[in-house]
Formats: sequence, structure tokens, C-alpha cells
Amino acid sequence: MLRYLGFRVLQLIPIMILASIGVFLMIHLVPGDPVLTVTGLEASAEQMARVRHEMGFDQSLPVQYFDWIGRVLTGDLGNSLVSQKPTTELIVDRMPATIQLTIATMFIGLVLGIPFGLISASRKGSWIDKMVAGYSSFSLAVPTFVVGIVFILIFGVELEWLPTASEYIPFWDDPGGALKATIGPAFTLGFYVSGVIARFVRASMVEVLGLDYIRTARAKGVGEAKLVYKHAFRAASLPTLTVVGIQFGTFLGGSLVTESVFNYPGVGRLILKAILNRDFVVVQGAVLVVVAIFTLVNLVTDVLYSFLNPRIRAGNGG
Amino acid sequence: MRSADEALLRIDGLSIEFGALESPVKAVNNVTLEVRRGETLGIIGESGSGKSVTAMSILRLLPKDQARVTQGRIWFDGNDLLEAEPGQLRRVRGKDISIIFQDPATSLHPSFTIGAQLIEAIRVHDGRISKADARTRAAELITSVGIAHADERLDQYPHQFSGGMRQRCMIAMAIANQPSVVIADEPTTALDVTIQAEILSLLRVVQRETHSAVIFITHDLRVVAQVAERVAVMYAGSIVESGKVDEVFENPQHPYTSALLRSLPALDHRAERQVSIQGSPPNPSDLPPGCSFEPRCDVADGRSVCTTDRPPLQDIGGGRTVACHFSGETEAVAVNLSRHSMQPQAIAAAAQVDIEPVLRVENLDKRFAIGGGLFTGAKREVHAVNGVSFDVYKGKTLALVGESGSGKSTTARLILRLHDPSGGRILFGGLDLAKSNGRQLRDIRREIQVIFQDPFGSLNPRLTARELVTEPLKIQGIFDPNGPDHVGELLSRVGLSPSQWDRQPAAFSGGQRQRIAIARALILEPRMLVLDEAVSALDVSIQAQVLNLLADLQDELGLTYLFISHDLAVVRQLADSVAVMFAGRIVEQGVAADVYGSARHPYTKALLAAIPGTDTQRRAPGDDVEVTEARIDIAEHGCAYRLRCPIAQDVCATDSPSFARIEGTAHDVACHFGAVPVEVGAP
Repeated sequence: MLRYLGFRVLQLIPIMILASIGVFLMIHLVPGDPVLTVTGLEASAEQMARVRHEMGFDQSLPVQYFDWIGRVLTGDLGNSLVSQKPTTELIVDRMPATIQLTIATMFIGLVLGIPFGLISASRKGSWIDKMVAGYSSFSLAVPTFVVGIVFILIFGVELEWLPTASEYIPFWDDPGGALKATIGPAFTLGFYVSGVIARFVRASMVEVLGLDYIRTARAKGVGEAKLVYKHAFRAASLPTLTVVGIQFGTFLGGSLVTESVFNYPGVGRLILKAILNRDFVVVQGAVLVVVAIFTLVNLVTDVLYSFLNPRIRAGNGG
Repeated sequence: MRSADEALLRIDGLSIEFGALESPVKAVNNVTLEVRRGETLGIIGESGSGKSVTAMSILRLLPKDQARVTQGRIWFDGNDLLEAEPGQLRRVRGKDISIIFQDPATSLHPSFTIGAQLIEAIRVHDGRISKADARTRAAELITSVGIAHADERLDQYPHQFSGGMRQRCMIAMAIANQPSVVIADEPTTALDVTIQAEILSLLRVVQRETHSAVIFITHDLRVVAQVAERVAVMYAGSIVESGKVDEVFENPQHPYTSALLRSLPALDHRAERQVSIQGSPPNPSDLPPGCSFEPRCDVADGRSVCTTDRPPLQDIGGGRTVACHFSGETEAVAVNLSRHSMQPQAIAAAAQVDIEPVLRVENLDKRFAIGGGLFTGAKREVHAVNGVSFDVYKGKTLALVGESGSGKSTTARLILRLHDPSGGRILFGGLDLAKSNGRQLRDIRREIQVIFQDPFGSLNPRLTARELVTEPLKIQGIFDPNGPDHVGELLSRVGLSPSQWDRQPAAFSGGQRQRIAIARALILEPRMLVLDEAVSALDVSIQAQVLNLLADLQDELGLTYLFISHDLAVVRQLADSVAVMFAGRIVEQGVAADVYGSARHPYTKALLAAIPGTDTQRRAPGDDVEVTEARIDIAEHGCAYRLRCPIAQDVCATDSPSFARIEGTAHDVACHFGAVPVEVGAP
């Protein structure tokens, strides 16, 4: 097990090197001159040359990369071109909001998605199954900004139960307020996630329910309900975990659209604003952090997976 | 008290359909049978005969969305199980009636420990039993089925058990609540022959102790002869004959039973030809209006009543029933399922020695590295093939025999160079295949063709029979569309009519697919065929057809066969010489008659003794069988077999036995005590 863990952590290194190169080149691949962001459009040729030199853009690409990655490794992601604040600080400020939103999103997604998946798998072909299939198609097909706007229209504008623009209220400071402020974006994203999970749970459950060991359990006299939630779901939850992990990692990277619709102060909106401002230092830094988080979450998922799977856990000398 | 004669479980006029309502597949047609307390009823039939569907329907375990019971009742304890409420049914399942399934590899939940699964089986019917008490009971149960270190074993997961051990666990689970009926659905089919013998005797002990009735479903006539008192023979969804096992087998009244018994390969001699049943079972979605067996029947002889009227199952007295219009005409066949006295036969082999072999394998070695991967610690090596040497002569058949894991299939794969050998030589056509590569290897592969076990997985489903057989010619670049139709000739030769040539594999039965595979292998005119369990997946009547075809082709074309099999009876019918493998080594080798007639290695003897229906296994009244402990044991040092060997002595632990020739024969044995005939009791 420890060997496996060590191996997986080592595997992160090449992934992160490749990701950092990608992120670094990104800024040079998009059209437009980042220098103009600093100098403004009116700048003279000398001014631009000076800034270009200060920012190191007159160096060769490899030199620029090693320069940048060297600083990144010491925790310095550069200062925002707009606010002059350190990017690290900007991300750290926004991270708790995104984490809270992600947890709420996944909670909603799982609470809706798992029962839907279980019910439709155990009643395969029934009208419930068809309803759930319709539900998940719908949740996957409707864009999140539409769900978000409709949500705001109903609960914010018509019913006036919730604020039309949310803010970040830490859950442990004010659970009620946090709930009100987070439920909008969390539901919008969770609705989508529930569709993904319902589909996935259904597919794995249908497969598992047809297996021999489920028949064995049935022949032992295990009741249908227990058969579904204990025997079949135990086996089907393993592949589901992978999907949950991917979703979790994705949303920890912030969701640009939903956070913007609800004006929610997370990492997603930070990135979106930086893109609009052509603040490439923040974009680079934030995207790199997002990639790192995603990779780490997937690593944790895989390790968890192998821990929960007795065939791997108890492997020889494991 | 119920009287002993009264049926414990009675199935009355049961019919089951699958598939669409418009074109149903009639899997079970009007089946009536009963089983009494303490009795074993064997249900025998080939694949698709409806035997398993019948068994599964008793506890309503058929998939609800696919199977429909169209008529019939299943009486148990005064109730019709088909009408039972879910709660009522659940109380019967696993408590009054339990099932042992075929494949122990897939029938246990991989994510729960054996203990948890046993404890659940106990507590699901009586929640008042505490977990601790249930665990104690579970430990008793697995001890009673021959698993040592019960306490430790309960905390292990199924993947930590061998196949035989898992089946023991399944049996423990099935008897956990002292059921009155145990259904065993092909419980030993997935197991090696020596393990099968252990499981069968375990089932016998269990039945004796629990006095339960057993419904034993199998395709294997020998197994049924060993375990059952009464037998019901099923064909195309119906019972065609039933009665006491001895009477049915000695004097079959239905032509199908008779033919099935005759097509069973004999163990004591090599038959000139296998008796086979022509054709194949009817399509259950399109049963003939008359007798289902009529198209394949010798007795019917074109009489119209057989094609128009379905014969009813009639009581012919003495507790026997038969469904045949002309049962009196069924040829009486005396099939003795036990071995005759096996006299060592004349040593006919010596002549071979002068001839140059087609294939010579010398000291072949293969080690696989296992572990050392992501999850495991130290790298381990498995010595899958360990110094194997043999010769195969032109026009002859050498059989490699052994249980799963013995290295026989790996040996075949090495010869085909599907794996690279770790050492040794493979001499064929003046070349050492172990060292050949590229072009040479491609040419050689024309000369050695292979037929695999699974007739379903090894043919591309999108190609027609004709395309499948043409393909090797195209690959070798020698296909001539304008030349003579060799493909057609060959397809006819293996028994496929021109109307079938343009069909895809899905339209063929297992036996027909194996015929296509044979044609595909022969189209390149190879000198040698490697047959890797080539008939193991086929039903007995079809198996005989394919064995006959292989024998005919060998005679006509002078082919040389390397025949890999776990089935000693099948091997007996085809092999000129036999090599028995255990743990990667050949332990005994010689002319078939010698190896079968006077086996010298204790392992060979154990294999022969383990075949159901042989004298030592025959069920006798009042015989006393003991539960033998499950073993997992290939010794690392000395003789690999010594841990299972009844005659092992100190020398076996220290010295690995080398091959010794038995004087005056071509019979070699690798046993310290093999060169002299020692009488060994069956283990």
C-alpha cells in the first residue's frame, strides 16, 4: 500500500511539469500582447520595451519558463497586473468560498443522484426508471446558467426567499446565512452533478444486480431492499467513487459560469475576472493551482478506491 | 411426521418461456418431478435442455424481466412457491431450500469476508442470534466442510480462497440453516477433477448428516451415476425419461438417454469411433410439433407419429417414466460406467523410437514474474513450465493432461510462441522455434495451427464461415479467388452444408463453431494441430462428433496432434501417448494404454481415481465417507506433489525425483517410488 502511494505521488511530478508547461505557454498562444495590459494602449514603444524587459518577455521561452517555475516553486505566483496583490493571496482568499460551494454541490448531487440511481436500477424498465432517465438527461442538457437564472427568478425575484446575489458566509460563522448564500449556486451545480451520478449509479447497479453473487444473496433469503443498498451498492459504489472524485476535483477548480451568475466570490470568478482583465499572471497562477488540486483529488480518489477494494487492499504483501 | 415416501418438493406441469411474447423461447415444457426426504435426484441434460432454468425457478431466481412461468405449480410444504408472497418466499430461501451454484469464482460477494457472508446467511433468518453466536456457528460450518483455521479464514475475502475452497464455503452457506432441500446446480463443473471428487464426497457427507433432499443438476453422466438415486433426463425443455439411476443407465428406455450413454467416451479402452448423436438439439424458439428428439433419433425411422404427436411422459412401472412412442425399441445398451479391469496392455510403443519426431520439445522452461507491480511488495516468480521435454510423432497424438495451473496450456502457448520461452528448445521442421523470430516464425505458424477451447470467443462475430476460413489464406498472401474452391471443400469436409457457409458465427451452435475453427486451422495445410481444450466446452453428444471428425482428419491427412485437456476420458479416445503434468513438470509419460492401464505416478493414479463413476468412487450403501480437508499445496522443495502424496517419504522432501524409464517400456515416471509398481489406495 505504501509503495503504491509513493508510486502515485511520484507520478504527480511529470504530470505537473507537463501541466506547468501548458499553463506557461497558454499566455503566449492567445492573441494580444500581455505587455499592453500593464502599459495601457497609449504606451510608447520605449515604455513597452522597458516593461517587456522588466517582465522578462525579451528572454527566450525556456529562460522565461525556468524563471517562472523557479518562483512558483518557492510559492510566488507573481503579483496581479491589475491590483498588484500577490496571486497566491488572491487564490487563498477565494479558496474557502469555493471549497464550501463544492462541498454543498457534491452533497446535493449525491443526495439526489444516489437514490435516483438506486431506484431506477432496481426498477429497471418501470415508469420510475424512465422518469429518472428523463431527469438526468434534463439536468445534463440544460446549461448551468439557465438553471441559475431560473433559480434566481423563482427564489430571489418572485418568492424573495433568497438573495439574488450570493456572497461567501463561512458555514461555521453563520450556518443559516451560509445556507441561504450558498444554496443557489450549490443547487445549480448539484442539479447537474445529480444527473451525472444518477446515470452512473444506475449503470453500475444494473450491471452488479445481474451478477452471480447477487443471486447468491437472494437465494440466501436477503430482502430486496437490503440486496440493493447493502450487497449491490457496496460493489457499485466503487466505480461511482471515481466519478464523484472527478466531479469534486472539477468544482474545486471553481465554476466560472455559475459563480458569475450568482456573483459568488470563488476561484472561478477570480479566474474569469482575470481573463477579462487580461491579468495573465493571475490566470496562469490560478489555473496552475486548479490543475494541481484536480490532480491531487484524483490521486486521493484512486488511493481511496484501492483502499476500499479488498482485492487490492489485501494484495500480496500489500 | 411426514412419511418418507411423501414428496418434499413437487414440481407440477411447469412451463417457462423467455424472450418476446410473439416469439417465445420455450425453455421448460410441462415438467413434473418430485424429490423425497433424504434422496438425491439428478437432473441431467445438455446445455439448453432447461435443467438449470427448472432449478432456478424453484426459488424464483430467474430474472423477472426475462422469464415467464406460463403454467405449473411448485409445491413445497403445502404452498405453491410460485404464488408465495415476497416475505414468505424470502423465509423459504436459504432456510428451507438452498442452492449451491456452479461457479464459485463469481458466486461469492468479492467485497465481503467469507465470515460476513456466512453470518448474514444465518442471521437473515433469525435476527435473535447475536453476531458472536453466528460467528461461532459460521466457524463450525466451515470446519465441517473441511476448511482448517476457521477463525482466521472467516476474516478473509473470497479472492483469498481457491476455487475448491470457495465451493466449500458455498456449501457451508447452503447448509447453514439445515435446509430440507438443497439444489446443487452444476456444483463441480468449474472445478478440477480431483477437487470435484472432494466436493462430491463432501456433498454426500453433508446430505447424510442433514438428511436433506438434494436436487443435483449436471451435464455429466458419470457424476450423476455417482451421486444420485433417481435421475430425470431432460431434452429440449422436457423430461424424456426418469427413474432409478442404475435402472435408467443400465436399461435406458428413451433413445436420447441411450444415445447419450453410448456417446460417453470410455475410459478403459480406445474406441474405434465415438458413438455420436447426429445433428444438434432443436432451437427452443422453434420446437418441432412432434417429438423434439425425432430429427436426431435412430428409433423413429421416419414414422409419422413421431413428427406429428408429442409423446407424453408415461409411467412404465417400477417408478420409471419415459416419453417415447416406441420406447420398447430403444436399443438396450449396457454401459458400464465403472472402469473395467485395466490390464496393462501390450507395449506397442517401442516402434516409435526410431522415427524422427515432428515436434521435439527439450527442457522447455517458462517463468512468469508476478507481483512487483503497483500493489505488491517483493517480486515473485512462478515457474509455470519447468524442464518439460517430449516428442510428438507424425500422424500421432500426444495428450498433455493436467489440472488448471499445471502448465499444460502455457506449454502449448510456448510452442506456438504466443509466449517467449525462458529456456529450452522447440525443434520443429529443422528449426528451433524458441529462437526463431519474424519471417521464420510466420512460416512456421502456417505449419502449426491451433484450436482453442472457447468456440464463442475465438471467431470474429462479423465474418461469415466462408470468410473466416478464407482469412488465413489472405493473411499468408496465397488466396486465389479464381482457383479451385478449397475453402468450400474443407467446409463440406468438416460437415457444414453450403447453405450455412455465408452465415455468421452467431447462427452456429458450439459444435458447429468448433468445426469452423477446425476448417480455419486446416486451410493452410498444416502439419500439426495444437488442440487446447478444443472439445471441453461442448456437450457430450457434440463432443463425440467433433472427436470423430478429428480422428478422421488425422487418418486422411496424416496430421499430428498435440492435444491439451483436463478430461482423461476424452484424452483416452484420441491420444496415442500421454504426458501428465503437475506444477509445471511432466510427472508421467508414456503410451496411452500404459499410462491408463498401469499408472505409476501417485498423481496420475489420483486423477484416474477421481473420475466419477470409477470403481473407487461408486456409491455403495452404507459407505462411510469422511470430509477431507481442503488443500492448497504444491511443495516448494523436493517433489512438488509430496504434500498430497499418500506414499511420500523423507526422500521426497529433499530430492526432486528425476524421470526414470520403466524397464522394457516407453513409459517414464518422475517418482522416487514409481519405477516399481506400488499399489496405492486412492487418496
